[in-house]
Parts: sequence; structure tokens; C-alpha cells
Amino acid sequence: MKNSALSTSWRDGRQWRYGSAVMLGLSLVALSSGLARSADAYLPIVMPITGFLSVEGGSQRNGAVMALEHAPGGKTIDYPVFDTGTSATGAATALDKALSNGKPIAAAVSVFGTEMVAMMPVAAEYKVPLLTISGLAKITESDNPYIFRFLPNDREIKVAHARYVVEKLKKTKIALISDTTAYGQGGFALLKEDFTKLGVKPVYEDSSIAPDTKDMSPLLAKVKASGADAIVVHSVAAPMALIVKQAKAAGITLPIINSSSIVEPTATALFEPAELKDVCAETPSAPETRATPKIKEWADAYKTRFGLEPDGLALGQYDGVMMALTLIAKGAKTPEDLRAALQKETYEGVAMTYKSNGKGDLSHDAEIVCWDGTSRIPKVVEHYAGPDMVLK
Amino acid sequence: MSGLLEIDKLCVWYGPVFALKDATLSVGSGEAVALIGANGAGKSTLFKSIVGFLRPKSGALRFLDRDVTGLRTEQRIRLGVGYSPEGRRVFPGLTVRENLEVAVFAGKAERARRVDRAFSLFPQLATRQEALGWQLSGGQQQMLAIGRALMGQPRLLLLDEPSLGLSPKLADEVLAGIRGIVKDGTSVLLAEQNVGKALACCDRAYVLEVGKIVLAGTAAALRDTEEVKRAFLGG
Amino acid sequence: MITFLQLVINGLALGAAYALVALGFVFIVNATGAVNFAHGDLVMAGGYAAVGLGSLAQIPAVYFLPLVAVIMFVLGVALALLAYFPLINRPPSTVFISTLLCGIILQNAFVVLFGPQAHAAPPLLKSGVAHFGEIEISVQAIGTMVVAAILIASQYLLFTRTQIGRRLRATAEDRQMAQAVGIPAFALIAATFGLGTALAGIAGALLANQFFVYPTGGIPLSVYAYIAVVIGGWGSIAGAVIGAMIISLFQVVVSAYVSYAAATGLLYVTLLLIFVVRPQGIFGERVQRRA
Repeated sequence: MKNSALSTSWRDGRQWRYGSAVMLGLSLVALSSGLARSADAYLPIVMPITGFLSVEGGSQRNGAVMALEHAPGGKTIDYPVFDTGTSATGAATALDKALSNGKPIAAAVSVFGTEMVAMMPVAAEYKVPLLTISGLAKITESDNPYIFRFLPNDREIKVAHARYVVEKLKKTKIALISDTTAYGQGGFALLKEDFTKLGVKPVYEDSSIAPDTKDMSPLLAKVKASGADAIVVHSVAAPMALIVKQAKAAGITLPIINSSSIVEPTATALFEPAELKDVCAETPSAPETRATPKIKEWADAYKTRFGLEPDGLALGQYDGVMMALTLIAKGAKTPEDLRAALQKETYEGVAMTYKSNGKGDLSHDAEIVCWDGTSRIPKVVEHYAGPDMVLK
Repeated sequence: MSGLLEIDKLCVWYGPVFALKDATLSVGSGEAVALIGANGAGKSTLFKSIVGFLRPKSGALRFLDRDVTGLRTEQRIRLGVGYSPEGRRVFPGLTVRENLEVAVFAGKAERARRVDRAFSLFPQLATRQEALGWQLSGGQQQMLAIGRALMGQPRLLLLDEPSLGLSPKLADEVLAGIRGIVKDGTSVLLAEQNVGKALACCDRAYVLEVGKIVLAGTAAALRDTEEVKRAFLGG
Repeated sequence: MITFLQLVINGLALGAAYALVALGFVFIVNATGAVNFAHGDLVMAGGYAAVGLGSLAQIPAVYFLPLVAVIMFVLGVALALLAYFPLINRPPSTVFISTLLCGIILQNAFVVLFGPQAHAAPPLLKSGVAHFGEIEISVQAIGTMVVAAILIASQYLLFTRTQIGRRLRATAEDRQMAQAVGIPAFALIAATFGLGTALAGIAGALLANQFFVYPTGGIPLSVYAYIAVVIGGWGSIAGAVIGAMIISLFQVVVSAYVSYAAATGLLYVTLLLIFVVRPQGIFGERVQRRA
């Protein structure tokens, strides 16, 4: 009960305990028919469409669908959607069904790390590449050649988070805060390690914030008393939003640098724009900022197609599927062709340039975004890529 | 003597065991009727069937010329039945006054008037108005249960074992009150184990034995019956 | 000192919200004896109702609070029909389980209807902070305290001073006997669930502004309500309010001096001590009720 948590954040590496609200939805329901049409390729989508990660699953599905609707080279793709129901067993059986249902060339799969771990052996059995945006570091560290990830992993992105605070903001008296979920605890440990490597010891540490905590004033009083000059939070959305809101209401003007949970449009909707002044966050990409003409064009098209603001999940998944489709258009005919091509080719996506590091990680870019207090849309203030995201 | 309560061939079963079999009886306006029988003879069962706590398997139950078998308990009560149950069952967390007040369905002034009447009927209660139900002595609880049953100004008052657990003196006081209640226009059906006292204060009586009515008649006639003498009056 | 005072004020503000939550819980306990473990989820339902109504009309919550109460009343009657009446002659633990299940159904309904993310409802009057010297307190918290005070007083008067309140209590103590003095017990029980749920809904609408609503947000609230009622004394309104205040003071004041985890631990230790020293709760049960 303690760990019941929100899911407006999307990064993996946490184990959700969703109280008793385990989604009763059928995990095996294919939402659109898997009947084979005469298409050039079969590329099923296997994602959490129901369950507590349905927001995240919905975003990544939209991104995949948008790519599949515009497959390059005049190819037509068959892409039924299979629901994992936000559970490991549901994911494994859904992927098994999806891959046995036709002759797949690849599959676009879940953001949820726990589901990814369950799906990896299935992919190895069918020898079909999986295109994912799950952040859980270990999925590309276990020598499974079929995993291709189009967002940076948690380990890298926390380096960007810590470096921005220490190197750009020049803050050395840091209050480091996380919630008690596995996600919060994992991020807390990584950040602490990174700060140590950067030569900073936080003046205040608290990783005991239960996700259902309502009044943050005791926490804020302790932060104030510690003499901190910046607040670094790694947490799921609700407690993070309460910390930020109540800090602003209490007149605390310290910069607050959050994990990406707060960047989701559903999380920023909880704030008045003024409450977000001097608030920053790490995020792998921030299409809602429309920072480049290319991203703007894509984000506008996404909004027209789905009636929603896009997020980094949708864009990452779009780029990943589009890279695969481009390679198919260029001649990849079998899953093995595609796997080899994904391993060695470089692809210029909407968000960034994708190139595998040899382990299936194609994205090594992260942004730091900040709000100026006039809008719920943040601005990109710093970009980290490749070697920037590794600390010795 | 028009039939206020008419019960015809009422059968009640507890699972496979019958508790009442073909019970037929009536209570008319302006009379006190006693139900006599040993523990377990079916007296309480009959009362519970009348107020609707129990659902009879067959038979007719008419009150004021109306079939009441389909009515809920509170509907039967509101037709003019007052019920003082075995074990008294006063509301333990309500004060004496509140116990009386909840049973009045009338305006505020009328409510106060009826409560005052109960206090004049049972002066002992008047001194303990603000005591909670559970704090009363057994006799006081009995008075409260009877007073509560009278709050709706019923046509028929059902008194189930009012002397149970009372001292003989208190029991006499309670039973002596019955004539006054009848005089005020409320008929009484009294279940009582103390047959002598019951027959002394009632006009007629029915004798129940293991769920069946075995004898009926006027109190005076029954008092002289050999069976009643032998079984209940120790003679 | 200012910080301490500020924390106490914050604790009282949160306690007022918890007291409102406990109030609907105790209402149903007082009138039916039933422990409603869907209560926290009904609080969330009220929050969602406020979010929904707030998104339709951009007006402060005070204007549609009565409508939230009406919607929740209907939901409460439905809960009684679904989870209470069919089990009315079963042991209390059966009702406990059935309401718990209804709570889970509600949580899933929230996910389907509103998604898993958090939502915020409009403020009661306006957002912002009022200053009293160096102490500051949000307008919403003041509103919550005022609404809580009004409803606590109303409920106390209802149960002690009115004929309907007496009948509710009589029904809770002995339903069958209540019917046997002419009280339409089933209608009263349905209305009780309705009113208790309406109270939950108002609490939810007020909480949902500062503290958001999300599908599982009700689970700890059910627990707090239960704890508050146990600390305060089963069925006691004053006890429930005091119990709610004790919980919030641990969460807000005690946790300023130790970690959140330790404050939670201390709360439960205190709870155990109360059980040992005063098993009937602070405002101990005044009735030797049947088991």
C-alpha cells in the first residue's frame, strides 16, 4: 500500500507496486486483428495499452503507429496491436502470440522494463529484433542481440542530471530527495554516486518520501535548515509535484532540478505556469518544446493526428520504428537483415542521430529543460550526448 | 368483540423443525389475552411472526382486517402494533428519553406529550431520563421497553415475558399496569410463564405446548381446568 | 519557533482534511455499524467528480460542491445496494471484504475514465496564500478547515439533537428492534450510505486541489480514517477528529524532526500504546455494545 505510485513518469528500472489496483484487463487481447493482409511486412506492436502504464504505453504506441502509417518506400506494413496489460507474464505471452501470428520482421515493444526482461527470451527464440524505449539499463547489458533501444538508459541520463546541477548551475550544497518507490530508490543511488564522482557531497539527503505523502512542509523545513542551494528530486510525479508546488507556496526560491516525470504533459497540467519558475528537469527529448524546425513539424503532425501534445516517449518510439522501416525500404528483407542493419547503420531521426554502441543502445542524448514561469512548455537549456553521459 | 388480530393456521418452521403448527387465535378490541406455555412452547415465535421478524411458511395473519404477511416490520408497527420483546432490547447507547422519542412518529409537541405520559406511567423512568439504556436495572429496562412499545399509541400491545428476570414485587407492578393499558384502549397480548399472574390480569388465554395451541378459553374457565392446574399452577 | 508554529498550522490544516475523511467513515459506522473500506476510494471519486465538473465549468469549487455531494449520495446508495444489503445478515467481516472489493472496482474505473495520472481539482474559492504575521496558510486550507468545522458540527447536532439522528443511532445499535418501533431501517441505511459518501465526496473535492487525485490515492485514506476512528474511540465524532489530528501532526510536525519513515513508525507505536493504555480509544465507547 505504501508504494502505490503514480505513473506520469515513464522511465524504467522500477518495480511498480500499484496497491491493489492491479488492472483486471485481459492482457492477451489483441486490440486490432492480427489477420494477415497482403502487406509487405508484419511488424506487431506489443505494449501496455491497459493497466497503470497505459499513459506511457499509449504515447509509445502513438509514436509507433505514426511511423507505420508513413512507411517509406511505398511499403505497406501490417501492425496489429497486442496489449501486455502492464505485467511481465502478460508481456511474454502477448509477444509470443504476436510473433507466432505471421512472419514478423521486428516488433515495437514496451516501455516497461519489467515487461522487457520477460520478453527478451521470447525475442531470442523467434530471432526477431525488438524496438524499444525502455530505460532499464540492464536490458542492453545482457548480451541479447535482438534488443534495440532508442532512448538513453537511466545510468546515462542521471549523469546528465548531476552534471547540469554541479557544472552548469555551479551548485555544491545540494538537497537530494527521492521517493520510496523502486524508481525513486534506483535514481537516488545513481545520483548519489554521480555527485560523489563530481566531488559534491549533498548537504541533505532524504529518500524516505512515501509516494502518498501530502504535506511536504517538514521536508522543506529540513531542506531550508540544511543551507542547501539547490534541490534535486528523483521521484514519480505526485510527490514531486507536491514538493515543487509547496516549495513555491512557501516562498522557497531555490532551483529545483527534477527527474523526467515532471516533463510529461499530464504532470505539467497540475501546475500554474508561475509555479514552474526556476524548475528544471532531465528528459531524453522534449518534442513539446519544438526546439528545431524538424521537431516542430513532427510535433504539429502528431498533435493533428492524435489530438494530444507529444512527449519524448512518442518521439523516441517514432524514430526507432522509422529507422527500422527505412532499413526495410533499403532492402532488409528478413529479421536477420534488419538486425544486422540496426547494429551497424547510422540514422538521422527527428530527435537526434541514432547509432548503436554495439550493445543495442542507439540513443546517447539527453536534454535539460527549464520552465521560465510563463508557460507549461519548457525550454531546452542544455544538451548532453555520448561521452558526456559517462562519468569515470 | 371485533377481531383486531386474527391468526389462522399459522405454521412457522426453523429449518426442518416446526416451531408453530396451525396456530389459530385472535385478539379483540379492548381485551387482554394471555399466551401461556413453557419455555420453547412457541410464544416468542408467535410474536416474532406477528411483527415480521419471522416469515411463516403458511397460514394467515390479519391485523385490522388487513393481510399483513407481505408488510415489512415497520409497516406493521405503524399500523398500530406495539412490541415489547423478550429480553427487552432497549437501545443501549440511547438515553431513556431518546429510547422513547425514537418510537414516536408525530410532531415535536406530541412527542413530548407521549414521553411525559410514559413517565407518568413509570415514574421510575422519569428520574433516570438521561441515563443510557444499558445503565438501567433489569426492571427499569422492562418498563422502558413497555413504554417504548406504547409510544406509537398502538391498538395492540405485544408483551413478551415482561416479568422475566424481575423480582416478584416488580413483576406484580408491571403486570398490574396491564389493566390500565387496556382501559386506555390498547389491547394486550401477553406471553407469560407465570400462569397464575397472567390469568389474573387477562380476560382470555391460549395454552401453547410444543408449537400447538392445546387449550383456549376465558381466564376464569382456564384457571379451573385440571390440565392447567397440573401443568402450571402446581396443583 | 516560527517554523514550529507554521508546521503545527500546516498539520492542523491537513488534519482538518483527514477529519472530513474520517467523518463520513464514522457516519456510516454510527448508523449501520458497517466498516466501509471503500471509503478512501469514495473520497477519490469525489475528487474526480470535482475534477470533471471543474473542467466543464471554469469556476471555483464552492459553486459545484453541492452537486458533488448529490452525485456522491447516489453513488453511496448504489454502494449500499451492491455491497451492504445483500450481506446484511452476514458477519461484519463480510461487509468489510465486499466494500474492499468495491473500492478496487472504483480504482479500476478511475484508471479507465481518468487515466493513471494525477489530476488537480479547482480550488474552493481561489488559490493563493494568506499571511498572518510570519505564518502563512493557503486559502484552500482555510476553506477546508471551515467546511470541516461546519460539517463536523452539523453531524454532531444531527446525531444528538434530531429525531432522524436518534433513529440512525437506534438503527445502528439494533436494526431489527428499530424496525419494531416503526423505523424504516432499510431506507435509513441507504440514506446513511448516501450521506456518508457525500461527506467523503466533499472531502475528496477539497483534497483534490492541493494534494491531487489519482487512482490509488484512496487506499491510505481508508487506512487513516480507520486509524483515526480507532484512536479516537469507535463511533465517536470528537474522537475521529482528534484521531485525524494526531495522524496529521505525526506526518507534518514530528516528521520535521525525524525522517518520514521514523515519523510513520512513531505514529504506529503511539497507536499501539493507546491500544494498551486505553483499548476503547481516547473518547472510549460509552456503550457495551454487542460483539
